[in-house]
Amino acid sequence: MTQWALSGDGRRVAFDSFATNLVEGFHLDPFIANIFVRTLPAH
Amino acid sequence: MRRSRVLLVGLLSIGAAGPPAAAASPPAPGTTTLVSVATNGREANGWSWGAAISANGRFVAFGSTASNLLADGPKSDLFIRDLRLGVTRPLAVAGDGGPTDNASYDPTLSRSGRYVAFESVASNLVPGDTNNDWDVFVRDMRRGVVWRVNVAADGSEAEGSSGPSAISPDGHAVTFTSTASNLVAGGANHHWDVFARDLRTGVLSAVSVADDGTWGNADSISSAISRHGRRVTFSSSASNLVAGDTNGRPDVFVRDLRTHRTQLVSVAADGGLGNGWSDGGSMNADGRYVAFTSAASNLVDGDTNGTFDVFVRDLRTRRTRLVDITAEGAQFASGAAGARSSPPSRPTEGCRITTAS
Repeated sequence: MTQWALSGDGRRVAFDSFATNLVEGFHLDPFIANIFVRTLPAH
Repeated sequence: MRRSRVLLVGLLSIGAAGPPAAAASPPAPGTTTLVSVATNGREANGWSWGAAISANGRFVAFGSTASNLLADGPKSDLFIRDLRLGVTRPLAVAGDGGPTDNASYDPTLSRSGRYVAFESVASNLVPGDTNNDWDVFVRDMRRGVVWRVNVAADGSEAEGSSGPSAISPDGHAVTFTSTASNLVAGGANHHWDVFARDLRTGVLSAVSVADDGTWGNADSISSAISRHGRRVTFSSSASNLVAGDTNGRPDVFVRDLRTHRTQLVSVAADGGLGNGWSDGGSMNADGRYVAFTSAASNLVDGDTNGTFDVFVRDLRTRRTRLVDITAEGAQFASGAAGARSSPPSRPTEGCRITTAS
C-alpha cells in the first residue's frame, strides 16, 4: 500500500511508488520502490 | 474520463527551513521529482518507503535499504533529502557519528524539517540504551543532537516496545504508542497506549485515558499531535474513554492535554456513536480539524457507498464533513477505483484530500 504525506502548505505530496515512468532521465528498477514528490498546480 | 478534485480542508503557515537557502529552482507546479537519490543524483539501489515532508516541501525524510545514497559517511537506513540544495543526508546516526547497529523506521518531520521523530531498535543512538527494544527518538538536524523520548520521569528505559510516533509541527512535542507499563504511574494495562512528551519541559503525559485519568481498556494507536503539543488525536478500541461507548468498534478520539478532557471525534450525525470502524489520521496545526477514515455510514447524512470514506471533524463547530467526494459532490461507488479512501499515511499539519475517479 502506498504511503503518502502532504506538505503543510498543501503544495506537495510525497509518496512511494514502483512506477518507472513518473520522471525522465533515470533508469528505475520496476522491482524497487522509490520516493517521489509531486508539486501540485496552484488553485 | 479521468477527473480530479482537490478539496482544501485546512492549510497552515509555512515554517522556516533549517539550513540557509541556496539559489536553486524549486520544482515547477505539475511536475514530479525523484527524491530517493544520492546527492550526485544516482538512483537508489534499494527499496525506499515511508516519506514524510516538511511544511514548505523542502525536506523529505524516508527509509531505504539502498546502500548507495551516501557517497561517504556512516551507513543509514533513514535519510533526509533537501530538495532545494539537492543534498541527501543520513538521518539515523549513532552518537559517535558512526553507523547505527540496528534498524530505524518511520520518520516524521516538524514543520520546518529541523526536527525528526523516528523509531529505532538500535542501541547506539544514545548512551545507556540497553532495553533491546524499539524506542522513539528525536533528532535535531541543525545541531545533530538525538534524544530518546520514551523514557520514564526518572530516566529509566521503557520496558516494552514503543512507536510509531509523530512530532508536533513546532518540533517541541512528540506523541507515540507503547506497551511499556513503567513510563507513567498506573500504566500497567497490558495494551498499546498513547503518550505525549513535551520536549521543552520533559513532561510525559498519558493520552489514551478517560477524563478521570483511567487508562483505555483496549489498544490505542495512530496518534498525531497539534502544533504546540496541546491536542493529540488517536484511535482506540477502548470502550471506557468516553461514557456510553458501546459500539464495539475502534473510534477516533482527541485528548486535550491542557484541559485533560478526552472527546469522541468519530461522532454520528445525530450525536451518537459511529456504526462502523473508524481509524485515526491527521490533525491540523491548531488541533481544530481532525481527518480520519471510517466505514461508518451514519457520520454524515447520505453516506450510502458502503465502504471506508475520509471525514474531517471540526472540533469547534462539532460538524463532520465527508471529503472524498467527486467534483459534483457525489460519493465514489463501492468497488470503483479509489473507493477505499484513506487520509495521509503520515501525520501532517495540513489536510488536503486529493481524490480521483
